[in-house]
Parts: sequence; structure tokens; C-alpha cells
Amino acid sequence: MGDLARKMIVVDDDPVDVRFVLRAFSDAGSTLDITHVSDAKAASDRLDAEVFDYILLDINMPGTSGVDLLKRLRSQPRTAVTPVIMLSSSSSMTDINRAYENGANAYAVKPSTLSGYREFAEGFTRFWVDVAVSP
Amino acid sequence: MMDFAAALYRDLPFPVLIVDAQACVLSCNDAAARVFGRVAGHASAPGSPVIDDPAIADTLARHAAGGRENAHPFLFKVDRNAGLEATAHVIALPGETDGPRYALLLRSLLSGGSHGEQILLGQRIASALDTMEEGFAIFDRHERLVLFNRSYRERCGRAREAVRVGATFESIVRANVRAGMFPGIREGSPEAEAMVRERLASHRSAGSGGDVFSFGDDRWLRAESHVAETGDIVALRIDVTELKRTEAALEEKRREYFSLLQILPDMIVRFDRNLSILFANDSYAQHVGATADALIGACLRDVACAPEQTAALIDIAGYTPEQPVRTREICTQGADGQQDWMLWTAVATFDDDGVCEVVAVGRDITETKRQQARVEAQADELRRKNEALDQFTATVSHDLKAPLRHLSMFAEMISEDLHRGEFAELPHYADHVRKSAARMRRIIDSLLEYSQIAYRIAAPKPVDLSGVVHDALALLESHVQESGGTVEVAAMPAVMGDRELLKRLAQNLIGNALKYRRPECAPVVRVYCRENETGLDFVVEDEGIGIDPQHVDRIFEVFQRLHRNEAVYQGTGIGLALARRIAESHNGLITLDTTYGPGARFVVTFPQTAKPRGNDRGRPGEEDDRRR
Repeated sequence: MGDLARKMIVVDDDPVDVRFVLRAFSDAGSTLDITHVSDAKAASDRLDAEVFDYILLDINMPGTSGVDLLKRLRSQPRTAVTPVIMLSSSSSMTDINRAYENGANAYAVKPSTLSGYREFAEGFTRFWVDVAVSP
Repeated sequence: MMDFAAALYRDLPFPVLIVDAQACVLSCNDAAARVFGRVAGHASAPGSPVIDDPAIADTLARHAAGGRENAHPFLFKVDRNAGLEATAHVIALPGETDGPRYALLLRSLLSGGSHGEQILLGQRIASALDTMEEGFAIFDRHERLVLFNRSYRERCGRAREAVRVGATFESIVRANVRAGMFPGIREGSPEAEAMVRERLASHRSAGSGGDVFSFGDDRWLRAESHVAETGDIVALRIDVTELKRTEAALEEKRREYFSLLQILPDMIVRFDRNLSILFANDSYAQHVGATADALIGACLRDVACAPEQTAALIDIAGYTPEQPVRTREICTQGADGQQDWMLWTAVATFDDDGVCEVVAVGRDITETKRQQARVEAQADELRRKNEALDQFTATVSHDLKAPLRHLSMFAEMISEDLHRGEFAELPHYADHVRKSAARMRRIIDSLLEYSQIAYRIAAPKPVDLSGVVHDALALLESHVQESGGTVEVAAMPAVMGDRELLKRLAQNLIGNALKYRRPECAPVVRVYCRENETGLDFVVEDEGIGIDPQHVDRIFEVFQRLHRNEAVYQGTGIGLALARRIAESHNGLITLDTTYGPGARFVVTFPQTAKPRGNDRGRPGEEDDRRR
């Protein structure tokens, strides 16, 4: 299904970080249609209303945390198998393990450099968009 | 003198023979007459010597010349066939004209003879009695001394001269009193008379087992008297000083041991296989509400507290030689409603029939248990604090990472855009760099402020809460005006604490109340106090946006903000964490009252007030100080 642009929703309360993500994907020449929401509630609402191909999820958010949102998403048929990639500033094994245990497909630590972000965007596109087959 | 000598010669109990140089008997006294079967006073036939010795004349002369202390063996002829070997004292009689005359005083029997052996034997017996350590004396029925041994005499010490054949028992006792032989008893005193009477009574009640009394220099004597067949009274004196000393030492040890048992705070009770109490110390007696003496012989089952719990200890059958020890922790309800814990250890001793007796020792471990509970509570507290610390560290590192990441990224983006020649966004990026750095600094400053609040404040002083709140309001003046809000402050008592910290606490809580207002609404904040059994509550409530109850635990943690967007709600998110730390340093706590609907209500509970100033209950509206 290459004709329609894939849709990705980015759930992160830090708009600056989201800006870095957008820039990186744009620089990588990605055709992804990227939506940004700031908290779990907004994410739930959007995910009820639309279908997204990928979910990019932060962990530390005010209110409901990313892992709680993940649990909720995995329990709903609509989003049970949607690829969820965690993108968090935390590199603690506890957070990493918890994310995988609750159904995350992958976990990446937020880079601190432009090149880091680019690698992320390119790597993401190459694998999830170009190679992996969507459910 | 002649009459005296004649009487002596006649009555002396020892045989005396007057002999010539040939040992022919010229005369003999009554005692000798009895021994030799003669008639006293009569001479024997001339030419019939009584001693069988050819050189008798020389022998006699020699012995007599030897001086007074001579006692030589002679063989005497008693009658035609019998001989008598005895020692005799040879005394030369002065002033005889027709040849030497000797007096032979027979001392002791060596062998042979028939009559009078008994008398000679007396001397032998006397010297045998002298070897005895015990004092031995024979008194006749008139209480006159007949015979005594050396020990009996020497025992009387300074009064020994009074011990003579013929002396009365009473005179000997009185002589001892006089000589001070009875310690502490002075002659002529009523005690002396009593002593004399006592000794006489003791002497007369023969066979009564004897008396023990203190005598001489630090000695103890047992005096016994026995009646002989002849009607004489035999008196024995036995030195029991060593025995007495051992007894005293034993008694001393027993007293020491006993007082030790009584001093011990532990309870001790001994009982036999039938649960009959053999011994209980005062501690145990007190515990069960009886006296130690009353408990002896009582049944343990009737006496013991908490019989259900002590059942295992009372069950005699449960003790075996392989496992003679049992321990139980017994918990009882004390008089004051508190729990008392006792640790009982019982040890059984065995004889051929099984359990002989059980010794049980009970120790009060109530304090130990309390300590244990305290230690457990402290360990829990420590665990909790460590977890909080870990959480804190994770949060801090996360919260500093974000602005650092932004800083790093924007710096790179500036560099890249410069390289590309695109200058449009540069001011924007630079601005972000500055903001990120500033945020990091603010976070670090907050952390410093947080960590500088000590676990417990050092020197609590009375702090007037009303004054503190007014000072805080002064600092928040611009916020109040900006928001158009009202802050109602009731009169409040004083608490023990740190004025500056309490001001910061008020500032944080009131500042939050003003900050988290409903959009388009002027905030209304109420500050008041109320007293309850646990202490004093300091309350700040508002009618703002409130807090979702599910977040109640997180809000007091460092940097936990429920509303990240600093454009709307400014702050690092440390305000409530700071408030909690301040409350805890005052030994109090801070909670969110989730039952309050209209907005958010924070309650800081202080353990006690300082000296109360009036009885202010502090309800808003009752006593209003300021309205803005």
C-alpha cells in the first residue's frame, strides 16, 4: 500500500522534542504524515477517531504515563497490533523492560545530536516503512 | 605435819610401800594393801623382799639418787605365784638410823597382777584421756569434779586453775565467767547469772544432745553431758569452731544466693512434678499478686497468669531428658491496657521416676519487643526513603536531560543553518539555547533549595502562623494583583518551627492556589487552621482547577508537574515537593484533601502547637484580618 501516505502519531508533551523529530523526518525525505499530540488523553481521542500506521510514544508525560497509555492501546482491538515505538529520554532498564513487557515493538532513546535524530528517522523509515509489512 | 603426812600416806589412791634396802616391806598404805593382799600398816616377814632383784639395794639407792622424776619398772611379788610388773617412784626417806628406807610409789601397771589393777589402770587411762582433743571430765552426783583430762582443763584458758578434783561444776563455770571466757558476758551482770544458770541446767539435763555456745577467743564449743552407770555425769567438750565456720559460710552463701534471686528482675519459680510450687522469688510473687511465702506449696495451675499460653510449660509429660528445656513468649494484657511480653524458659531435672522438678525463669521482654517493633518500623522507613531517593535521582536526571538535549540540539542546528547559509531561524534557536540553559539553572537551584531543608529543623521556636502568612502574601503581592484574586486569612495560633521555612511553605501553597485558577475566574483562596487530636491542621484551599485524585501520590514528588506547559503554568514543579519536605522537617505531614470538591485543599498537619494563644478555631469569615 505505497500510494497512500503512511500516518504516524507522535505522543510527547515536549513540543521542542517533537520539533526535532519532525525536522529529522523531513530532512530524511520522509513522506510520513506526522500528527502530534501532547498527552495520553489527546492521543486516545485521536486514535479512536483515526487510523494510524505507527505510534511514536514518549514515557514521561504529565497525567497518564506512556506505559499506561501503551497498556490501554494494547487492550483495545483497534490499536492492539499497531506498531508502537517508544521514544524516551529514559535509558533505565526498568523503563525499557516495562515497555517491551507491555507490548512495545521497539524502544529508542531520544538523541541529543542532529545526526542522532537523523539516524533515528532514517532507520525508522528504512525498516518500518520500506521493509516491514504492516498488520 | 606428821598428821598430815600420815593422813596422806594412808589415803593416797596410789599404792605406797615403805621398804628397806632389801626391798622388804616395812609398811604399806591402804591402796598397796589392796593391791598386794596385805593388811595395811603391817610389815612383811623379814627376809622376804617384795622385789625380785638380787642387786636391789644398789638399784634402790641409784633410783632414789636420780631425783624426783623417776619412775622405774620393777617386778613385784604379789603372793607365792603371781608377779606384778609396775613402774614405781623411788623416794629416799630421810632420817632413818638403821639403814636406808625408801618409799616406793607405784605409778602404773605394766603387766601381770590381779588386784588393784583397776587403780593402776587409772593412771594409764588418765594419760590415754590426755591424748584426746575433746575435753573429758567426770563429775560425781554432787557435781564435784572427779576426773578430767588435759584438754578439759586447758580449754578453760585463763580459768584453768579452777579445774581441780573436788571443784564444783558451778565454781568452774563462775571462774570462767570471771576470767571472761564467755565472750560479751561480764562478771556480776544479769547476763552472767543467766549464763551460769544455763550451763548448770545443761549439765543437769544429761543426754539432751548438748549445747553449742561461743567460748574463749573466737571458738565455739559443744557441751554434752551423759549419765554413767555409776551415777556420775560425764561431761564432754568438743570444739566445733570449724564446723560452725563452715555452717556460717554456707549460710552466708545461701543468703547471697537467695538475695541474688531476689535482686534479679527476672521471675523465678520452681515446682515439682505435681505442679506444687517449691520456691518463688519476690519478682514472681509480685507478678501473680501474692507473697513468696504464701506461694510455697500452692498449685501452679491456680496461680499462673495466662494458663492457656503457659500450658506447654506446665505440661510435665512434655519434658524429656533429651529435651529438658522449653521456652515460650507469653503476651498478657497489662493493667494499663498495654501489652506485656514475657519470655519464659523452663528447665526440667530428672530422677529415676521422671521429672523431678522444673525451674522456670521469666524475663520481661516488653521493652525488647517494642524496640524490635521500632527497629522494624525504622527499617521500613529506611527502605521507603531509599526508594524515594532512587525515584528522586531518576526524576532529576530525566528532568535535566531534557533542557540539556534541547541545548545541544539547538546549538547544532545553529551551526548547521549557518553552514547552509540559512539565517531565518537563527534568533529563534539562540533564544531556545538561552531558555534551556536558564531552565537547567532553575532546576538546579530548586534542587539545592530542596536539599538544604534539613531532615529535622535544629532549633524550633514558636512561630506565629498569622504573621508568617502575611509575610508570604507580601511576597506574592504582584501575583495576587495580577490574578485579581482574594486571599482570606483567619487568625491562627503559633507552632514550633522555623519561621523562614514556614513562610516558604505558605508562599508555595498560596502561590499554587493563585496559579492554578480557573481560566477567566479570579481565584479565591482561604487560609485557616483547625485543631484535632493529632495536632494542628494548617489549611490552604482554593476554587481553582483542582487535582485529579488519581495523581495524589505523584504531586508531592520532585518535578512532577501535572501541567507541563510552562507557558500556562509556570514553575519547575518542585513547589509541592518542597512543601512536603518543609512539613516533614517540622515532624508534620502534608496531604491533599480529596473530599474537597470546589478546587484543591491542602492540609499541613503539625504535631502540636506552641503555647496556644487564645482558643482560635480559625474558620474563615469569623475573624478576618485582611481582604484584598
